[in-house]
Amino acid sequence: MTVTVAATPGGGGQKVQRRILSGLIYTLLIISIIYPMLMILYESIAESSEGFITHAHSVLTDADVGLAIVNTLKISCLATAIAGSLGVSLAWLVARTDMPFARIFDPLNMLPFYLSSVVGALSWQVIASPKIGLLNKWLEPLFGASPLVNIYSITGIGFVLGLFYAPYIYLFTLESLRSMDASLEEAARMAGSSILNTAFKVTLPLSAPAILSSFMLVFVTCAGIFGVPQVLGTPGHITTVSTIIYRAMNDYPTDYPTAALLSLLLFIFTAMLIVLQVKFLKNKSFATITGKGYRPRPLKLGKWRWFGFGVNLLYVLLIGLPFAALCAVSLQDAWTGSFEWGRSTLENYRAVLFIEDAARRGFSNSLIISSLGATIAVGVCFLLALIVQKTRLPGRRMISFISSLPVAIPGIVLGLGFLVGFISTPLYATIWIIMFAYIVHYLPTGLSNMEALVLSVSRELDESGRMSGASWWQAMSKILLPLLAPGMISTWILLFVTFIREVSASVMLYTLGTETLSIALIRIMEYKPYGISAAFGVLQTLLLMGAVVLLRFAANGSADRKGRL
Amino acid sequence: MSERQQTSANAVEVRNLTKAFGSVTVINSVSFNVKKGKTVTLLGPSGCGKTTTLRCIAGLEEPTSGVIHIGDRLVFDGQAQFELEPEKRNVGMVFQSYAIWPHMTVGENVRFPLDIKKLPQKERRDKVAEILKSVGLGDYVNRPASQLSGGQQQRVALARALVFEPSVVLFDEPLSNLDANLRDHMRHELQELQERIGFTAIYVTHDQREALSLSDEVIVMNGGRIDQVGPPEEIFSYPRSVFTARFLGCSNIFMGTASSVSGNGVVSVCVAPDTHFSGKHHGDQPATGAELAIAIRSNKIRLSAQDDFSDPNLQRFPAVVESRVFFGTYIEYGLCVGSLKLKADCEVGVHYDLGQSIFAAMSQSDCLVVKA
Repeated sequence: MTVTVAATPGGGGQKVQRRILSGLIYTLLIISIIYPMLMILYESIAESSEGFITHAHSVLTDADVGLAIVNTLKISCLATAIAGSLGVSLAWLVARTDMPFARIFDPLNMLPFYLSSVVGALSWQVIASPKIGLLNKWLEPLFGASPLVNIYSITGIGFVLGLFYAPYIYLFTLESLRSMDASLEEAARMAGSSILNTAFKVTLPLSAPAILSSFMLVFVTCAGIFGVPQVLGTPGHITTVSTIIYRAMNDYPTDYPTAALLSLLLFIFTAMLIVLQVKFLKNKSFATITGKGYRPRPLKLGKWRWFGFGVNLLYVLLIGLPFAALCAVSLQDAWTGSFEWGRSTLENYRAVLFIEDAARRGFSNSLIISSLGATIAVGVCFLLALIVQKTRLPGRRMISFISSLPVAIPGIVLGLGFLVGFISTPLYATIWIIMFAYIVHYLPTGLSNMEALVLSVSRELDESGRMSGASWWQAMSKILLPLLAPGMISTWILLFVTFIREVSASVMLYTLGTETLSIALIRIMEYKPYGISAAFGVLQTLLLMGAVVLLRFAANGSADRKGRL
Repeated sequence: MSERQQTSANAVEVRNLTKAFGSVTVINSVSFNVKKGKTVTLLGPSGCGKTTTLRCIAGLEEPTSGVIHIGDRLVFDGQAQFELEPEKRNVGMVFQSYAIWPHMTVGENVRFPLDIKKLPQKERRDKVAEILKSVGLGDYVNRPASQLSGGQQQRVALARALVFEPSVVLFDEPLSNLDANLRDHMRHELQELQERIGFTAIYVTHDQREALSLSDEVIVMNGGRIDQVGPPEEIFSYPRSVFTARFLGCSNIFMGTASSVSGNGVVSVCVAPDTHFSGKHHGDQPATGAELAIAIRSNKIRLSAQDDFSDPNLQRFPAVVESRVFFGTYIEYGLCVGSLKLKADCEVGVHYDLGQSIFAAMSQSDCLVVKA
């Protein structure tokens, strides 16, 4: 056995390299995820002058805080109920029935997924604000002067959130219904079960884990969201946990300990629900996906098919009509409650694009942050996915776990963590700290997308590269990278869109000069005529829609590629 | 050193290879050699460790311990913590799924190993053309790989594994994804190609027909260990264990004890209180009283309505017909011999009724004495 020792070039060196690499990754993950959260803990415990217990007691027994917590729960429940009933029924109509124009409705139902809910809130003001809302104006002759609908209410906030988060539940339900092996349902039919009985006894129970887990996700997201409650809650003095955190940070003097304590509470609440969701999915998910399987014959709704059509059309109109109204407002020099050709002008757009500094900075900052941030995020996630799935690096499962933690951190909490964590570094008050926060916040999204992509390619494809003489890196770059490119482009655009409309983390981190698009919009709404905000909202929406069109092209490209695999 | 010199005719040498995933040991101290230019098959049921053994040789899996040499080169040594990267082992591999890269043409797929080696362009073109011609895909160079049928993908995978003249080609169940007719066809082609080019191959399969027809040597694996090694004829005719006998199609296996052992390899085995089979053993001479088993192929049992067999040396047993299944080229009878159940294949045309009392007979040399 003397031969062996002589022939070990690089055997030991490789082990050292691996250790350095994993050490580097752990350091980065700890700095960007663990450290900011520990800083929040530190702020809430150590920085309060009267001691942690007394401070916590005074904050938690504060009537305003109690009200905000109740409001937050009410809003989240309402939003989840609306999003859930819309999402599940629309998905079932599109995937399982002969509803007319289902193929056109499918992408339309997904559209709000890519749009900004802040712009949604802005446009619903045109329809349902108590004084100038179109609906109230039209209904005034019938019901008298007291406004019939009021968007500046808990119901209003929950309603707009529900509309904009319905696509999340729609997507989960649709995927689950589509990937389910039709023979499971056919077997029930052959056993003598009726269509409806099959739907309730087989189809829904099988997809229940996916559906309920998406409910949980929407609930948690709505509990931590900042933009819509801020825009629609301010006029009616309705507070949520996220808006009082914001207020604690923006009132003078800044109340760090209270903001940190409330953030900690919000984080613990979110994290608990996320843990529950993960546990629930683990225990209850069924393997219903099989290789073969026939597309099930769509359920014949008969005369009810036009009812289904009506339901889906209503959803599209609830998103589309307020936006159309917003467009109309943006084209008027002053809004009088109806569109007048004589008042038509592009002045509002000129103001946004050439005059309002905050708006212009918002555009350029967000474009830089989003395009560069999405590129870095895709690169980082690709490398992490390769390390987790395609190497034997020690501790790679732990890397995957830590990277998935930000999914349980609401944006505003992560923003606060970055603020207190990096306030004394040169990063503070630059657009780079905002970009950094975005990348960290959406690391779980990007990484799970990338891991799914990497796993979708049979490992034999890169192993055969290794057997053909390619090194690990050559196999990854020459074989895996070209195969994954369309999926990576889709992920890039998804992250770009998410970054463009991000509000919650940005609101903690922006300073004068580093406003993002959505922040600039919220700021302008506070002090500028409505027409300018409307024009700004329309422009942001056009930018997002442009990205969505690109996304569909990229997705089609990758679908073609998959079809050929 | 001396150990290595006397085995330099080996293309691959595996010593005490062990692989554990956590607490599960999937390969348990496996050792074998593959001589240059020969084909060795790892045969066994799924989960026996054959594919993991192959992947350890390829370098795609890191063994827990053991030593692997490819040619004169050490590629893995567990004790010295030495492991050579897969791409440096000069080994070709044909994967179960073929692993043809869908974003390249047929030519690009096959040329890939040569591109990595940065051979002169002309040499690359010539080698690709030559190897594609020999697998019968001469006109397919510019065809997108995603438009190939299963059999064509298989040929491309083979061409890609052979084009860079590796010291050994590994086959991971390459025919299992093809339908039955195509599988027979590709097996013939593979056989021809191997005779023509003469590459060294290690072939993994669970199909005994593939193993027997393609290899110079068959290694039967069971539960992470080697059960038996030998040329195909030997493995098929003289299985040494119940496992190998059953895996290679002996459907009648009876456990028993050696009641008498004679010098010429004949052992009498008592399988039931009043039933003895006398058979041949081919391994070490067993002791009287040892636990043994008798294995008999169902097509070696002769049936007759009366006890009128022409050969007086046959062992004969009265039997009752219990079942009758038609298989096209033969009929399988299920028989009761005392308390034993026996299966016998009989040519079509000879008919026995259910419940009929007949006689079953077999020669001593067709009763194989194997380890229990």
